[in-house]
Amino acid sequence: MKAIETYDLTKSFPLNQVAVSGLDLSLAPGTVYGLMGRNGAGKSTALRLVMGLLKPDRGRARVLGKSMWHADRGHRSSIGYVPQHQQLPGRMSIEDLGRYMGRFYTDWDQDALVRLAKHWGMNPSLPVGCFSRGDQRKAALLLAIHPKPLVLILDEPAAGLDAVARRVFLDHLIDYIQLRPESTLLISTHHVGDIARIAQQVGMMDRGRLTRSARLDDLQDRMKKVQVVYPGKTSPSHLQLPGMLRKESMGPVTTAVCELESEQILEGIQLPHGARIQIFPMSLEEIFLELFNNQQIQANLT
Amino acid sequence: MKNLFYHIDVYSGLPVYRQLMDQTKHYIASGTLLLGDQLPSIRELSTRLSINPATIVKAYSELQTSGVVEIKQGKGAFVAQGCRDVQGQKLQVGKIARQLAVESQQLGLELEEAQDLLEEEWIRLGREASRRKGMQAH
Repeated sequence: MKAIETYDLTKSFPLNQVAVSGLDLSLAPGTVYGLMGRNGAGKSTALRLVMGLLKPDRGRARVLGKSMWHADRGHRSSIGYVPQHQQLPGRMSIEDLGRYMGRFYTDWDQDALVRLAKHWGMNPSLPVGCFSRGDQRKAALLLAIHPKPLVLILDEPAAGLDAVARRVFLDHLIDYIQLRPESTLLISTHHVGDIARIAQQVGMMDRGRLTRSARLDDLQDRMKKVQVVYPGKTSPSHLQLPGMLRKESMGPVTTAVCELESEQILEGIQLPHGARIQIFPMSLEEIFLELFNNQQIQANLT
Repeated sequence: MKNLFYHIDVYSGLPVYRQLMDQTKHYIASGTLLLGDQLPSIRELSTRLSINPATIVKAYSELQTSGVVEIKQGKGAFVAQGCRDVQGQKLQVGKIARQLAVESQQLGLELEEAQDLLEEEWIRLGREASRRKGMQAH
């Protein structure tokens, strides 16, 4: 059974704004999946549809085999969710929130929650409204992971945090993955560095569509910058390379971005005498920018 | 277990698991890691580097596949006897050699100059390794 599965998931809002369109996702248990995309790409809506907080116009979403729209309390208790703009009730402390949430779970361990809050450097009896922004996000994460969910869905969990708070947050998440390697995480984020640290798979959303879903290390292995230096002063315009997404020429140098099955594939390329070909790795940021730009170019054409 | 320093650059295009593999191989080549030495545990490295433990599992098991490392169930990963896959190693070094040749030519270096650079690095590694052996003997 897949941990999270969506099929043709589609949702529009009034004024015909398509938020999510034909989303197919399939996450095996134990996967950490990073959902990337620009603001307004539909990530939050997608996660809310998965969580059953919105009703889709079309298609379906299942978490641990069931639709969240119809899920009972027992099923919900194995799924954790931290929404993007979560406001914990500011007057309540972690202890208060724990006592409240504990009623929805059969085996809630309040003492362990208090211990963990202290361990994470938060005062569990202080109203969370007094916490810094970073600690408020930490408190939300703490409450979501404390029941040890099998599926954890986080919407921009570290948005707006400074570098230190963000790293602390990430480290808590990694602790959780170590503790529960069988759990599945679906995280939306803008942060390339966070993705590289924890995600095994990435999905890219653009205008409501999942335009790409791949293993992160496959992407890094395959995306390359290929440079051809021609003898003379100009580059011929007809250069075609396998998996080429884009190319540009400046004088005798043509630089192309290619998705290569393997680097050996370029050895069969016929080049004019004296031309040299060189392959460069791309940074993760460049890879994502290229893939997003390319999608936009394609979208403009269609 | 040796307290090895690993440097991970998450923004580089090189997958994190490959960075771990390369650095482990480097430690073996330079004699920092010796036959039978234990590599850092998955949990420890994951916490220290702030990366998903699955990435380290992948690096270690790839190293095992190429015979560099042996994973003993419940004990950890160790530098293996058969850390020599000559064919595979030649293939890998061949790629780097090609890159070296291309760059040297583009920068206008002579073959001898490039060879000298390689030799210098070779000797430096040897020196580092023997210094370490000397330190361990004391």
